[in-house]
Amino acid sequence: MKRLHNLLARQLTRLSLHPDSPPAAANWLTLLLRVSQSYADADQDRYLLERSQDISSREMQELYDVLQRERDQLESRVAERTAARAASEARFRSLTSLGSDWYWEQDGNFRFTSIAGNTGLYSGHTIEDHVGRTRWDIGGYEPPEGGWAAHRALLDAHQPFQDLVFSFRLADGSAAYASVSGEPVFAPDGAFQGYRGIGRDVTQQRRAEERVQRLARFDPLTGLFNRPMFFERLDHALAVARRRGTAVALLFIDLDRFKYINDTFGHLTGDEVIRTMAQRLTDAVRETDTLARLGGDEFIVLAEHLASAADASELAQRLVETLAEPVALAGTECHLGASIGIATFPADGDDAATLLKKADIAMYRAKDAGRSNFQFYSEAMNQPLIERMVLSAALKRALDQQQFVLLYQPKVDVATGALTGVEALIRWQHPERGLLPPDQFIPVAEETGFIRQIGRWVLRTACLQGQAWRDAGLPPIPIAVNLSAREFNDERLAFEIAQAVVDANFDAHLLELEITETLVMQDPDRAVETLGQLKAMGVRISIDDFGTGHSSLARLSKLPVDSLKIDGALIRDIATDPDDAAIASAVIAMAASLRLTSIAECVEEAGQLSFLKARGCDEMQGYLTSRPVPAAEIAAFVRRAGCGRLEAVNER
Amino acid sequence: MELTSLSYHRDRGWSVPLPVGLDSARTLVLTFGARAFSDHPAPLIELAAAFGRSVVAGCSTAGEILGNVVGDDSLVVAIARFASTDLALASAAIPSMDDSAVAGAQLGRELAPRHPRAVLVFSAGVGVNGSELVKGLVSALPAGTVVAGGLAGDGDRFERTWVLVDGQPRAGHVTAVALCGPVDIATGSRGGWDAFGPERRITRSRGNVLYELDGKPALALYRDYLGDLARGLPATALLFPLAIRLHDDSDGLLVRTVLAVDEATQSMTFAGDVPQGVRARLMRSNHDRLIEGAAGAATDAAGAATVRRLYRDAVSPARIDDSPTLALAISCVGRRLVLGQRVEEETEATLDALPASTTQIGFYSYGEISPSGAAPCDLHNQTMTLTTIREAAA
Repeated sequence: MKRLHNLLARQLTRLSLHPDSPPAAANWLTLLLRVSQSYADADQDRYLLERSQDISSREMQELYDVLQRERDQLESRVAERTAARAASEARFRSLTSLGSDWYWEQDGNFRFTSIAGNTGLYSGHTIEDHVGRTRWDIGGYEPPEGGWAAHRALLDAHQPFQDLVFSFRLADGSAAYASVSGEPVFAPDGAFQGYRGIGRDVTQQRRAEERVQRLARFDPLTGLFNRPMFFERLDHALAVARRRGTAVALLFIDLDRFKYINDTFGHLTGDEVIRTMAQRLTDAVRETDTLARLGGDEFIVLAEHLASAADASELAQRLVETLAEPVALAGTECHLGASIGIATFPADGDDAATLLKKADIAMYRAKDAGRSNFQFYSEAMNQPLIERMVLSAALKRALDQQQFVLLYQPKVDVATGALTGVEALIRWQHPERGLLPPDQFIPVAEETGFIRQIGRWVLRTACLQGQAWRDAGLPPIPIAVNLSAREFNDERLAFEIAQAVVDANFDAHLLELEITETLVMQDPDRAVETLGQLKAMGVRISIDDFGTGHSSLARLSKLPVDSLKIDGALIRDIATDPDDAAIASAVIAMAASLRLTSIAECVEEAGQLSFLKARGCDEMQGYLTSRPVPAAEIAAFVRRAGCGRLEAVNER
Repeated sequence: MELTSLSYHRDRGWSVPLPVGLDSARTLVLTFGARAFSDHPAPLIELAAAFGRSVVAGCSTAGEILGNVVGDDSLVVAIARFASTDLALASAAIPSMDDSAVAGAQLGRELAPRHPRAVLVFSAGVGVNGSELVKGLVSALPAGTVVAGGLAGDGDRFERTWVLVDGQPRAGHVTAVALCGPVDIATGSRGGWDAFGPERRITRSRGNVLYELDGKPALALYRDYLGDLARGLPATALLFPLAIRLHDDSDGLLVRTVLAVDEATQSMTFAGDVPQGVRARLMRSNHDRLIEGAAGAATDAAGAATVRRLYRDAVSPARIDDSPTLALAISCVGRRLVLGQRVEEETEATLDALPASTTQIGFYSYGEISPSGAAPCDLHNQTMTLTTIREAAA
């Protein structure tokens, strides 16, 4: 019998049915229903199974899609990151290869782990030397500023550092410098991992800086200390001297005639001279002395450890002598020499500025004294300087306040003693100092140029006075006025004189101008021209202080002059000195042969008068006759002595 | 031991007169029946009265098992009189699900002083966290105590169950019987369900209530898989138990059965814990695999007995002897749903694998309690769980 499905068998059993016997109607239906239910159960089972499969598959597919998408995204992110990383690395390589810098890394024990970039800069130092070692263990590194201890403390504190300069020896022994900056590196959890940073070669900069430093302290031409450096030394030396109670001397050295050399031979030669002189000075000063070039042709020596002023003298003399030695220039030998001024501490001052100023003044004195010598500073030197400044101001005031006055010194005929004229001499009625002679103020006036105003005043006053005498009924009295160099060289001289004469309504023929021989001979050709102009106005010209200059007779004969005044120095000893007597005689004779009037100055003794009479000198002037006197007294003199000159004047 | 069984149907009454002669202090009366008997407790009261000295325990079912027959609307009874095994009975109330562990522990503490070899436990099937209950009970009992039993059923309604407490059917209670003495207990518990589809993660749950899988409502997933059968929720959810993997790196799976669904919260209540964060997969089975599983469970239960006897009696050969065996078969309501009309094939299969003199009694439950291999006793779902009880020869 066919084996029934055990469910069906069961179903039959449950209903107490047997396959062999058909069921009762009620049971039949029940059986059918149960069988039907079985089919339905089976359907449901299959439905669930298939549905589960479908949904599961769909879910799996969705998951798979998501995974795929995520994987794609991940891959593209990875690709991006890889590309970005590659780009970053390329950039880094560019940076390190193109620059002169290098990039370094160290581990947590400050040992180098890598160096990249420009690493071949320093001979004798390789990357291999560095890797695995700390900076202080690598041979050749000098300690940085502050020492290794300070740097290591900074590293231990995990601090960044910037531009720390390390120096080290290269294979050839020269020094190289690297500027290094570094920063600490930390892991995401904060753990210290090491350092990284950059380095840069700064050897060139360092050397340049050193050069600048040197330049700042040394004179580039001579290699001597320069001004600032010297003053540092001076301040220090003074401080020491103060403490110890010792003396210090400053020797201010100015080369003579350097400007002339520079102008004549050019600057290059001038520099050579400076160098030569610098070397001579260097050789001449003592080990303990400090030599510097202040600039131009000025040098200065700081002498410490002086036993006495004598030491300073000795030094100064040595310097003067060595600088006086000739210098070979362009095939010739030139003599320059130097003027040296000496000021000492504490005698002349206790600070650098004062000492320098006084040494400078002393140096000028040395120049004044004829150059190629040395002078110690003395207070007396200082006077004229101060006085000059005061005087200058006073002069202006004097003119404004009419403190000047003209005195007149009579010139008389040697034979007759009659008045031949007067020389107008300026005096300054100083409110405090009394009546001052010209040598007390004229030089200053010359220096400042104020002489012009004074000269103008003298001319006007003299002309006015001359005319005043005429107006007073006196016979015409020639007035002689001294001309200074400035006045004589002034283009407007003729104009000024013309103006004075015209304004005073004075007869130009009565005006006499006294010009020193030296002045005229400075530029004889020009002098001829000027004098010619003046003569054309009718003014008379007298050569003053004749016999002291170097006139040639030929030139003299060409000058349109009227008289020669023989210098007082010659007249002084004519009675006793045969040489002077001879010269004086010669001058008188020469004047006569040139048809010039001869006038002797500073005649004070009868003996001189006798001589002059004997030699035939025309006129004389001096204390023997009269001091310079106020205008009023001239009238009395005229009445007493008569006025003999006029006839001579009118005869010409 | 002496062993017999009977049944009760409402229209027929008792199948045989109550064998009151078996009543003794060492008599165990197990009874399982339809939920309806809580409303019509007469037979239960009668039974309890007839066996005044015995330990009477039992609960409601989603189907009663007696022999190889599965019935509904009936009561099945098994009576075993032990020769030298003492019994003890304890009960505890479970006011709410959160009290499950406490209740279990209470039971355990009561029975522990008796040093039981085994404890049979029958608990309310709704309003209980079965795994917590078992944990509590096991923690209070000496290690090595075999714990077996199940959660009462309520057909496929999942509404209310009863457990016999002092001879009365009571809801919200758990009762336990301690067997103290030389009894041989063997257990077997097998499923026959296979996990399928993608592994999901429980992203939101609380205790034994599942809200979300992979961030999406779990109820929606079940509806999807059930299709037309979603109409039958919550019962049809039994068709797809959940396999949860407590530890990501282990293969051990725990099977969980849906006991209730809540549309408002889109949540599903399971018979045991469904911890948040663990991985889970849906399971399905088919008829043959389930039957195979049942047979396997029985073989386990029978085989274990054989092994134990081996160890006790080194001389005698491994042979299953013929002493009376009480087999407590507690299967899962979910299996019944799948097996449908063919459900008795599994009860047949189990009986076939057990010794000839076995009296099989049991029920379809909302959760089976048993050891599983070497693991301590736990709540299982979707399994056929067999516990064989025989008294060792003196």
